[in-house]
Amino acid sequence: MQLTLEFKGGLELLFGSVKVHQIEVEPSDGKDKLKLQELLIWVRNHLLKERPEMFMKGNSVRPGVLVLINDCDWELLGQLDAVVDEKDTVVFISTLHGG
Amino acid sequence: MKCKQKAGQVLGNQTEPMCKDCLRLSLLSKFKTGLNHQGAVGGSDKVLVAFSGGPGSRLALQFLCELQSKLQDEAESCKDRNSAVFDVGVAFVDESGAQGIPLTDAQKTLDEIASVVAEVRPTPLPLHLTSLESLFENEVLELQASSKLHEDDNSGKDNKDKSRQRLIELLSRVEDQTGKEDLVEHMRMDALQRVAKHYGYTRVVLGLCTTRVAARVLAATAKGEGFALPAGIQYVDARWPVPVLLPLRDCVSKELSVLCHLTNLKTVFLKKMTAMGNSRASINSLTHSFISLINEENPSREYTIMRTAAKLIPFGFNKLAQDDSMLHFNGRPRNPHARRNLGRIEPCEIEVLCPICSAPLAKSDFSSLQPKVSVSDSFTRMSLEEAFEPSTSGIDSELLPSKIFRDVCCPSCQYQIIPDQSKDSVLELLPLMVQQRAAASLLRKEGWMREYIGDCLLESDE
Repeated sequence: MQLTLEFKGGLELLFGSVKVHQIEVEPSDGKDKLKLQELLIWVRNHLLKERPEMFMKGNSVRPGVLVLINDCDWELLGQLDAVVDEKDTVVFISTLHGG
Repeated sequence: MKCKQKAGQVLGNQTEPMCKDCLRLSLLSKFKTGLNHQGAVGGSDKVLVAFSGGPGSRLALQFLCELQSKLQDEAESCKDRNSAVFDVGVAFVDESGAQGIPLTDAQKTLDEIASVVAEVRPTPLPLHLTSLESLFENEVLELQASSKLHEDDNSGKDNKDKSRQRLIELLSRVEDQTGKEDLVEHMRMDALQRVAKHYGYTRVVLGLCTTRVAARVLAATAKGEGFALPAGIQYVDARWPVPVLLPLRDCVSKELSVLCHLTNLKTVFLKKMTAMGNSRASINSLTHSFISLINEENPSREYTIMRTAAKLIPFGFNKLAQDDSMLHFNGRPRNPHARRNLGRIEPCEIEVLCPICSAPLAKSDFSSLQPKVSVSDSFTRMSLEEAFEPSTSGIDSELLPSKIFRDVCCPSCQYQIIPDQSKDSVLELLPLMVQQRAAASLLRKEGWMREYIGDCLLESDE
């Protein structure tokens, strides 16, 4: 499954200072859809370069990190149970730096 | 859904699904409410936006320019020559000296900032670039929109290098991390005020939002800044030579960040002392993290904290002077009877302000009346505004002994920035304007004490 991940608000520093990542990830158990929870684990294991505690807390994102799936707030889509499809765009924005 | 026409894209106002357009209208409405509080911005005003690169200040700049453009179009369509529209400028304070960031990287950031500002509207906005170390330079700088951090001229370069070194040395002598961050913040405001005053701006707009105000409230509580807390969280703060406005005070950071993303407004992430660092390093970063944490369970917490603190009685300087612009920001004459009832605010009395952070001092914080200190005659009638300008009269910067200086500082600055009475190591490196403000505060304090015991004083002929 091909996805576009975007990191903003300083999160890009944790991913090699690269803001946009084109990734290919296989859903578990041969399913054709991927839950956001699985995607986060994949990101932590394969993309995160440093300081995982700045991006994740447990199996979810750290408080203060917003998640948008195709420009829609993940709180409207079920948060960790939200499902991503082929060619979706997932954006992570840190609000810990304001002003 | 708010508009019942488009699909909701974001949970706004804590629980309300909103589309992009409704989110934008909601934030713009709050912005206009903050801007129009007490008629803070009128047609004759020049408004300087303090741009940090973040979503708050980016949206403040965007909204201001859109309002300005709309008013200009209205004025032209009515051919109303009397309808003045406010001017807008942008200031950016380079803090790379405080971060230990190399000058080449800092210049890239400046170029990025300039690029973002250039995209805001078709006609270029005035962009004023300054730095924390500029506070150590006695001459008034000529700031240009495309200025480099170092002038081509060698003497200017040497001056800037020395200033940068002094800034680095000053911050290295502040041992407390919270104190270091706070000192940088106070110097940032001083740098903004210098730019605003030099270029004739009448208002400074900050992108401070609900989230950051809430973090400040908790941090101020932990630092013992309770008395001064109301001063910096109102829509209007006129204790500065150029009044400061917080029109985004009622907007949360989540909505600001999401709107910037949905409307493709570029922001620039700048690594500051409190951003992307160890959340346990200082009170400020701890409270930022805590606010994010409690919002997870209930998104209205930050708003509740801000609204609770906003109920504290503001100071007299949180109200603009009556003779300020009588024009509404849309150019129409303002109806003075439509002003909000501010009857609870006492008539503006001159507060004694901490020379470092400009926090109003509680009279109970004053120690016993100090023996009269001989202060240069030039400070006898110095106003706070004058104390903001670096002196060019050659007055010795070490005007006040450290104990006297500390006595006119707020408890928070005493504890965090200049804790050691026996050492002058921090005091001797503070900008001259801080020493001058200390002298002015001492005179005001003595004046207050004299008034307080006035009935007990004998007249000279008794």
